[in-house]
Amino acid sequence: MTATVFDIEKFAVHDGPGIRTTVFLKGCPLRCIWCHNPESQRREKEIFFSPEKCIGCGWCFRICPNHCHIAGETRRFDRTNCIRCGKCTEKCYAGALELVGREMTADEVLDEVLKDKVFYENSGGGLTLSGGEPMMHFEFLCELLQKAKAAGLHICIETCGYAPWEHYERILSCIDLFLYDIKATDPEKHRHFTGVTNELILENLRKIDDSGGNTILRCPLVPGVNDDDAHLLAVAALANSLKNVQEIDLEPYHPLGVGKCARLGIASRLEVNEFADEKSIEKWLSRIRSGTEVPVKKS
Amino acid sequence: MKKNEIFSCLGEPFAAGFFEEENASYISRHADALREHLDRAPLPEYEEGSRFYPSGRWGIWNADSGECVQFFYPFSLRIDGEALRRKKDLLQNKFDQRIFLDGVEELEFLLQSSIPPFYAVGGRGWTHAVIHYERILKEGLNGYLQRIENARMRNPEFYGALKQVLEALIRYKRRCLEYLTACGADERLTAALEWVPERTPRSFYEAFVACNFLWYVDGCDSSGRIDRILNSYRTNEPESELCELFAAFWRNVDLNDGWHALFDSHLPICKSAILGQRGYRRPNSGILIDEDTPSDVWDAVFDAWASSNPSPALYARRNYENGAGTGLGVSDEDLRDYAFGGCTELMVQGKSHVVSTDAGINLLRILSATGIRFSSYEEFYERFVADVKRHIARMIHSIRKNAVFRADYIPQLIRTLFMDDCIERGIEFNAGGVRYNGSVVNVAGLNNVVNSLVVLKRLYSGALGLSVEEFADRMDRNFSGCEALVAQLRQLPKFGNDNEEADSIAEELSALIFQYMTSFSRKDHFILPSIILFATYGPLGAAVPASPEGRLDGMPLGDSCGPVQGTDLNGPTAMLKSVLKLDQKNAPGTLVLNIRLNKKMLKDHENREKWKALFLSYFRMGGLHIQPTVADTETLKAAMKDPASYEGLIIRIGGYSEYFNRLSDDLKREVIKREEHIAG
Repeated sequence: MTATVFDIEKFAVHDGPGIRTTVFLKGCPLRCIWCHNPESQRREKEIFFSPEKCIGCGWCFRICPNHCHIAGETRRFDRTNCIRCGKCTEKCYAGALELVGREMTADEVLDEVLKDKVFYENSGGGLTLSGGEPMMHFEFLCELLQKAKAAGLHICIETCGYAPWEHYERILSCIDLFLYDIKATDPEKHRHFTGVTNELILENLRKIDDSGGNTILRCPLVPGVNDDDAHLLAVAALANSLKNVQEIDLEPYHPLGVGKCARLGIASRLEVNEFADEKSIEKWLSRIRSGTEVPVKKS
Repeated sequence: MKKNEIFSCLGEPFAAGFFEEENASYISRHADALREHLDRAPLPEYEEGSRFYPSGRWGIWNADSGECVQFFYPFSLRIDGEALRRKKDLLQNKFDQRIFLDGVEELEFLLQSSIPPFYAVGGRGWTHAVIHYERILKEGLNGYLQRIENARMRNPEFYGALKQVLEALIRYKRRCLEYLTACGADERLTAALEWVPERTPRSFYEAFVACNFLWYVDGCDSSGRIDRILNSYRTNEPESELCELFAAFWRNVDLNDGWHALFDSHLPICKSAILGQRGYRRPNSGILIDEDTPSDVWDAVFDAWASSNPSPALYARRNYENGAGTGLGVSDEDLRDYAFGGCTELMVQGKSHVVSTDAGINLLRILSATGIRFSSYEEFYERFVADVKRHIARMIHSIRKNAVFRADYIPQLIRTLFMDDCIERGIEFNAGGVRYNGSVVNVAGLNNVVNSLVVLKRLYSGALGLSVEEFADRMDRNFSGCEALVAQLRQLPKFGNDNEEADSIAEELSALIFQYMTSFSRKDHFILPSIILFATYGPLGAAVPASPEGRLDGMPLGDSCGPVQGTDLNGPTAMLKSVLKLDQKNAPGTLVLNIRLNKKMLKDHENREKWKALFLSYFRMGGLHIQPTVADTETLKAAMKDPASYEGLIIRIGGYSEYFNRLSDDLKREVIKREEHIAG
């Protein structure tokens, strides 16, 4: 069993307690307009193209079976006939073409993760599964979780909550902490921002909570988009209604996804190029804190 | 005129003393030189309100008087040859001029080195030391005088010279006291200097005044375990007083380019030492860390780093204790006194003569000389290793030859006085009088060579798609027009990423080199391998043509024992694991590891705990040392563009702290290239 992994990040310190390794799996059922990892949305491999890095060596022209690379005054990559075979990326030593995603078995992933086991042990850290949406690779996930648990790792999963309850139920015993995304509390707004409504997401969250699963609520916030008071207070109320929420983490918007969209050859759906400002962040923190005793932090 | 009169009338008391009795032994001549300087040279200026004397830039040996020949602790003297020769024109008489030039020639002869420039890797016979502050305080200079007196009959010439210097020092201090009284200096200071350093201090302040004075006497080198030494004189001084005194002392250290100080994280006083260093680049301070280091001390360290001062660096207490024991052959009793000199060269304070850094090998330069035109990797590697061993043997032979010259011609009487066991044994410092003698030897370019060997293995196996000859041709042409090849080389495994292929080469090669170096250790002279490149990795690269890893002609080498700049792409855990593959146990000289941290990551408690766990994990696995630079890439880039706005920006570079603005532009670029570990 394999999954498409698009990154393995060592010394990840924002994805759960202690020093962690975060494994990013490719594929997501949501299409958030602010997505900062657009390369995580599709399950299949994709190609990043950064024309400014191209040194014009010509390897991609020669090797591409479908002649997608076009020379000329403006170097172009026509993706119409691209089959994402990745041959061009193998020969692009300048790094202008990069294959995003590689198929890995659970054992391969675990081998990489276990390299830092000593750091997890000394810091209370471990493995974090993220994406995309890790639940999209459910069978792979089950195998990896079982093996990681057997290796004694502390495990976090970052999830958008949009998967069948039966799947969450099956993995509950392996997960030490859910990093659970709350992108919008209003169902319609949720659909507008992400493409799906949030009923299933909230239902799963309650069931996880009822089953004793520990959670940190993670709230991406974009100034002027989903940072209205009603949402902030609803997040606080949601946390109050749950028994096992340890913390609310705010994830202020950053525009890194915009550049990635360009490298993927897709249009960004949110052309906001500024980072969330400190003033807004302070306002969000105090607003949510006004409604709950649960600790609220900036991630 | 006689030679000494000529030098005297030219304002050169040190040189005048040296030529006073030209037929005397060199020990006597150096004693005459020191005595004459101490009796004649102008005193350093008293700085209004200062808690210490001397203070500021001009010290005991380098008073701002135009003296071109001075005492200088690494080589016993230093000469500004050009300025000295210009003084010839002040002499009217041709005969006097000839005598004068004859003297200059003899002085210059004393500064020759047997170490070939090829082995000048981070040093060429430079000596750092930490004098025995603890014992000097305890016995006072009067006690030392008594010990010399008691032993005098055993060797009148040797002890006579020491006595002459010590008495001159005491006279000098009395001159200082008269001067201070005349200028109405702080009464606390004059009262303290009435008593110390001739006698045992009666208070913390007197102990500090004595240490400061002695530090200037020694020539402004390293102050060792000063927090522990002073701690034994503490009574109930408030923390503000401790911080004020440390700050005043560190200012002196900074202004005089002083070197190392080592704090003990188990002593509460270390927090004052750390806090006092806020804003001062020097000393190159370090702190001994272990599992039991209190959390408030960790916070003091993180606070210092977050204030953009990368001091103190972290040292793994237990690993050094083990390493020091094996490397130096130190007795258990003396092990508690290990400290560092210079950038971070291991030594036993007050009891060792460690020429640091004595010499070293530039591994990439050797690889370049070996060449790559062989029929197989095995053949190449065998030749390369043979060349490396040949150079190590030659380098160590040259430093031992140099040691003989130093013993014969440039006795170091200040350290003979203040380092155990010179007085007891009646043997001069450079002649091996101290309890432990050795050399820290350096290795440069190990990281570059590891990356190059990864490339060469693939080249010889045909995996690069080029013949050896074709690759060598391209390399000889400095990879000109081969951008795709260079980009291809860049993508191959690199040391510093927890990559088995690169790291196993580093493991094998470092063990081979360090163990071969230590095989030259003798009971009377140990060899301590190290990788301490401070600012030299730039110039050391200038002598090396393009190398197989894709590095271009003249580009800097990799910084110290970490990854080559810009090549660790897998985060700090991977980087540390790679560095752990180096044979750390056999290179406690020190293996300097620079890591660039993002200031934001040091602010909150949660992240601090993670960094702490990271560093302690590294130490648990055998790591020796970590030194941070805390400045983000944007700040460094801004400082490069607008130096005037970043005068105070301090970075840690290969073993010591330096103002960023003092680096060459090339070196600034290399520092910026070091991966910044932001994490998350």
